[in-house]
Amino acid sequence: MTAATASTGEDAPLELRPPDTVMRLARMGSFHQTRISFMRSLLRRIAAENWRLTRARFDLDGDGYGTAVYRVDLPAGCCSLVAFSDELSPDERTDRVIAEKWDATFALVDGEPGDEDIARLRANVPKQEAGHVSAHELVLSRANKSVRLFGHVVDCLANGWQPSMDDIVRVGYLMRTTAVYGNGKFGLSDLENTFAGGLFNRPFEAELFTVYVIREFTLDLVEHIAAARKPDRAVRLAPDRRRALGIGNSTGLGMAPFLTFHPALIHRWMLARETAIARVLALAEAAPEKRGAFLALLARAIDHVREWSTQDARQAARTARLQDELRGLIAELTGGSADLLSGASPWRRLLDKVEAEGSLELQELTLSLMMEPYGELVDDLADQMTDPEQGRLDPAMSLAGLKAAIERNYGWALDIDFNAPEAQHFFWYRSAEKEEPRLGERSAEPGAELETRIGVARDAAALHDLLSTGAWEPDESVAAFLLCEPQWRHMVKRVQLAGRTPYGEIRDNLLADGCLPIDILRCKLSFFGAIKFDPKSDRWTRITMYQGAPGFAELDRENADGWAFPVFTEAGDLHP
Amino acid sequence: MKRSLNEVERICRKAAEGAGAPAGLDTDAADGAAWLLARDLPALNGLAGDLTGFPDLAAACRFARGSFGGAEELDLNGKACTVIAPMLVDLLVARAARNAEPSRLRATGLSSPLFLLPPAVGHAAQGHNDRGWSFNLSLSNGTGERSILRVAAGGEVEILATGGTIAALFEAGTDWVLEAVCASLETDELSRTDLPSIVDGERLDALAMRSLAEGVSPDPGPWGRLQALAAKVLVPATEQSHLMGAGALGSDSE
Repeated sequence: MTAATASTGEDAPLELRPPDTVMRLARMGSFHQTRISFMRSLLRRIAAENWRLTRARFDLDGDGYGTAVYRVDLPAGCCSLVAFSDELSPDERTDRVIAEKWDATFALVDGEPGDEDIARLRANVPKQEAGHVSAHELVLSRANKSVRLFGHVVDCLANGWQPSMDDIVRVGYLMRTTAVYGNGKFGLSDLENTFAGGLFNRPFEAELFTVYVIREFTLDLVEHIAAARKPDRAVRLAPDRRRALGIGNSTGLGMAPFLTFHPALIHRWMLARETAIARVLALAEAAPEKRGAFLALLARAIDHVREWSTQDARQAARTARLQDELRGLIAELTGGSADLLSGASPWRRLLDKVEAEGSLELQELTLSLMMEPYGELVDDLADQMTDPEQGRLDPAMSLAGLKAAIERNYGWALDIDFNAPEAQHFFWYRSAEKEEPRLGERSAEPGAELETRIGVARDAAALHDLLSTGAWEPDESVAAFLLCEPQWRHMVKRVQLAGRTPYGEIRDNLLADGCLPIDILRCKLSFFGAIKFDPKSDRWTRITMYQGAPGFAELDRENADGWAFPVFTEAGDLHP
Repeated sequence: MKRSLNEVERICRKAAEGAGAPAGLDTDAADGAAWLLARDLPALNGLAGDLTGFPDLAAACRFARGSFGGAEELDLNGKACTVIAPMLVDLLVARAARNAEPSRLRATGLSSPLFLLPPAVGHAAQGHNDRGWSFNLSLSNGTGERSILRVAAGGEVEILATGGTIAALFEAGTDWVLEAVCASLETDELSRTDLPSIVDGERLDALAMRSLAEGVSPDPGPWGRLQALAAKVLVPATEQSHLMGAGALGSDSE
């Protein structure tokens, strides 16, 4: 696919990787964060605009229970994170959406809340989905302490010493968020209203900003509890420990329907990412300082991957192979193939090499690393990831045009035999248990008649079959067809949209036996900027966010970007 | 209780899906309801009535082959008008686009005509082939009086009515005759009327902005009916689905 100049804003057409290559689950499940991932662009914005954080309220008891408020001043106004920290018994602590209590709950509020606001939020925010907030609240979230690390860090600090970096890196965070809600849910501000307020203007920016401030809260919290426990001995976290502590997150199946239900938005994300890649690949040569920066980052990536801890057998094997591949690649680029990067079209040649020899993990990581030295070339694309597409039906389109559009954009789906049981092995559904998104086996579990509309491949093929029967005149309009066959309206709109948003569709059958939802989760989380994917099954994963990022107080233009692929321990395996 | 427009849209969408509305019309009906509610126009009662009023909602959203063809008249008796409204507007636009001249449609048995506004605004604001569609939706009922819903190219809405028809226009269930015109440019029909303007675009825009900033307060009656319908899309939980459905394998609290 060659991108049109107008669609990417390029001065000259760029050669983008085709959707048939990019939009495959196996590749999407190998994505890594990039310079234009949302956390990265957010921290650049905070630094560039000099946002200021103030701890406006910190009414916590010695065990860390109570209320805290963090006020943040931006050029466009101010907002506040309101945090409620509560006691939670171990048997009530679960990361799943079906939980009803959490160690801490949060709301990001437009402006600074008064006492009445705090009282209203105290009555609702700890209840999360069972409560209700107002349009003055932008984000609602909750988090649980890491049982493995939180208490240990408190103990260490209270006794006057720093927790070991090994212990910190093995977990990576003091708390895990288990949901971060925005866009009107439970009474929150609608996204359009949030954007209109002027504080936030990119996808998930308010949500990821909330997480960034939650990180500040968790760091303050452990220090506060430690100081309360042993005022005479307690110490504060050392700066390198603070940086090494990110925020965890547990993510389940809800992210998979999100990608399917927002094809225009996903197209924008993918198009920005692929445009960034294409801009770097199109460079005729690489300046010495760019080559040096890339090689230094490549070396860092080896250690970063070494610190990527997971018990998941599939991911562990991939990570181990990735380490070996990275070692081999840097040996070649600094040895026998040293002229590769100093020659013509260096990044294109490097990609050709890793595509021919390396795993998908290596290919996608290499692309992420290639972008790093070229902020001036790609960072503007972070502003092109919102969704202006309304997705309105074109009712005058002919059925012949519709059929051709299916063949053009869904050819990958037309060869699948959906009569084979394995092609419709799974069904996706919403459980009555807190509407938790779930995956069922069609032949073994009830509820398939209520499946959500994830079977895009199946539906595209079925619509194509219907249009191929000859029952309808090819010149008939879509509008007339849908009056008689309204059940296809959803798919007709999708097909028409796909013509304008080629990266909007995952080009795999999400109902098939062998479909791994974890791949969809990783794709979306990589756009957020998550690292250290730690799958707990093929249906949910833990990740780390903001690990290595400067804290609010130290964030500036100089360090806003240098924290990618962080490394915290000396070479060699982590101590068991 | 104040609700966000996203909440309204989500509940209406799930309610329509739970009631058996065809895929795609459920989302359009929900978008329409949220659009109307944001502008303080009646929406939920009509939608809830349609979603619960038909033994086979899917059938009430479908027309038989040959029942319209090239004809300009549709019988909407027995149809879920709040749900199918986008299809009527689409038909007008398709005909106008294909024939490059204003299209006309007469429909009898129309209820909840305000639901024609959101899809008409969508087409007028976006317009295919850069034509900028405009709509003149003239409504009459048994009283002999008329109301007009006008959507100008660009999407600005005006509601014209006399005091005698405005109340009926804002109620669900009234049996209307629709004389609709869709044109790519403003037609004579758009400007020739002696009806007073009841609601203009400026007022609707102000209401929409307020609703966005503060939320809306749905009538608890139809809201409760819609919530009950929305629950029908959920699959009852089982022990197996609890453990396996979301992949809760291993420790989720370490």
